[in-house]
Amino acid sequence: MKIIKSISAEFTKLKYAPIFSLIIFSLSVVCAIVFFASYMGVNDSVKMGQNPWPRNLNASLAIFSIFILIPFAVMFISTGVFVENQARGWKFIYATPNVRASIFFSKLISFLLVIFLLGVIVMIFTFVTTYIVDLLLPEYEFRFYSPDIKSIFGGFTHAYISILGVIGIQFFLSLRFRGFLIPMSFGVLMFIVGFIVSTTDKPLALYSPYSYPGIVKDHNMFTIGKVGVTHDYWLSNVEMFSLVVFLFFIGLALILELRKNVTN
Amino acid sequence: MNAVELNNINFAYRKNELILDDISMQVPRGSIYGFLGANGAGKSTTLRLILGLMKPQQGKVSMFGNNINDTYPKHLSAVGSMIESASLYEHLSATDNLRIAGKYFGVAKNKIEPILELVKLQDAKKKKVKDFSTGMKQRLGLAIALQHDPELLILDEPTNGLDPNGIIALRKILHQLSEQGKTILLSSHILSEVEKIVNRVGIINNGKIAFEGTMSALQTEKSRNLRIKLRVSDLNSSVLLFPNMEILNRAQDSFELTIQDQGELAAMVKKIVQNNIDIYEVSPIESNLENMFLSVVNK
Repeated sequence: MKIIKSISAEFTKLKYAPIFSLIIFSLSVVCAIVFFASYMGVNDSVKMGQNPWPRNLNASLAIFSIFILIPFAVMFISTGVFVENQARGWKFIYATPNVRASIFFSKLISFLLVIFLLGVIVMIFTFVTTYIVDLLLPEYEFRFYSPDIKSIFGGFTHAYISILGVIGIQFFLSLRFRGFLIPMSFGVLMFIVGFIVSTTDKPLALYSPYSYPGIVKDHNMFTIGKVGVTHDYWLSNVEMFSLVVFLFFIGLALILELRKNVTN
Repeated sequence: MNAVELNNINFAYRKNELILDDISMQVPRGSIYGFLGANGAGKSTTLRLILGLMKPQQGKVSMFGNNINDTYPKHLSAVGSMIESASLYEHLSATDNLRIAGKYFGVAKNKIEPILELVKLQDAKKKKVKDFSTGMKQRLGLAIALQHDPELLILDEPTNGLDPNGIIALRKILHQLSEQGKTILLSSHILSEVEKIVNRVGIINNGKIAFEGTMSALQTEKSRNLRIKLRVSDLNSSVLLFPNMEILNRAQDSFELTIQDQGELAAMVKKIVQNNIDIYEVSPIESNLENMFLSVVNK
């Protein structure tokens, strides 16, 4: 019960924080791209007798995974932890009758939940945008077909797992540095590097967790066949690497947090 | 039983740089304990150790008779704290800040209104904390520390940023809490601000406890090495009457010197008057904390 109350406290702290602007910006970007791409490319896209939903939903998921997910996670985690540093909140929350690990995990879980929820909201808004496109351009015939919801949420789950490594690294960095500039700058820089690496078609991308969402949700935007992605099980090797990076950095951050002398 | 007891505590951030050197102190249950020391003397570090925010390299911290290492973190449900400035989420309202703190301590939402009334912030409950004055922030910090009705209250420099009215209001609140049987441990670097509230005092100097005892014992210490100012009609003749005393601050018609006790002062005055010299003023030089330290450390 205590951890649930701690998570609830974390969500209260996120109220009015820049996170809401980030969520709205992310939603707007994805929906605007989906909308305008559909609107302007109608003559090339409409194929008689073919379900138009997968094309739109996959495009939305790819845009979200490649361009939105990492910058959002980097900025959200950096500012989310900074809220605590700015309030000099550690000396208060670590002097409450809660073990440090519980406070640590409640913060991490709240970040994981918000990032997951953002994905869900983006997917929901993609449906809404698609219906708007259908109202304006009935030739798409979205209303005559059903979207494959299971497939799209499956795709999102893979994208989400592939970003866990980045979440682990950013959470670790945000806890180590009091300001948000260092973790945020590092994250943004690594996002750019990761993006470039993921387009080079080189196995180097396998060593860059910041490339993983791009690799997992490639969808023919880039040629990644030679990168070395294997998908023998439900999870690809890239997703497994992401999980390992996540567990390593979260474990390290937890150990340091448990031993920390709280001065802030 | 002591609410807090420290035994032979050593603490250093780096090797060979002791911040706290063999500190021992006892805060009796139900007392208002003033923990005094200059800035950088080790007050906040000591309070952080008591709260378990830092771990000593050596020694034992006990709370209500139990070693805090054995009871951590459960014992903290009986402790309210405000270390240095209050921990406040400035983008949120006073109510939200209390709600957050309440979640960590398992406090019901209906406790928020009464505590806001106690610290006189009920009219600002929906205002964002970033728009609060320093005094309001301190009062909100106090409300957060008090919200879960703790048995022990630890306040680090609680009068910081408070105006005289705020200090008086804080004193009143602390007296009320003390009457309810709560133990209050508060630190300050200004003796005059706490001497009217506390009944027991600990003085820390360069990481060592220089004095610990009751306020009356401290008053006795204060009267030792008392520095006084004398304004007289004939300065040169007066100074010649005390050839063995060091004249500290000689002005046109006054001089300052240090006396060992009040008896010595009476004898001095008598001697000056007997020599037909008029005395216009005898006044003690304000006994600030620095002088107190000198008095206590050099005893």
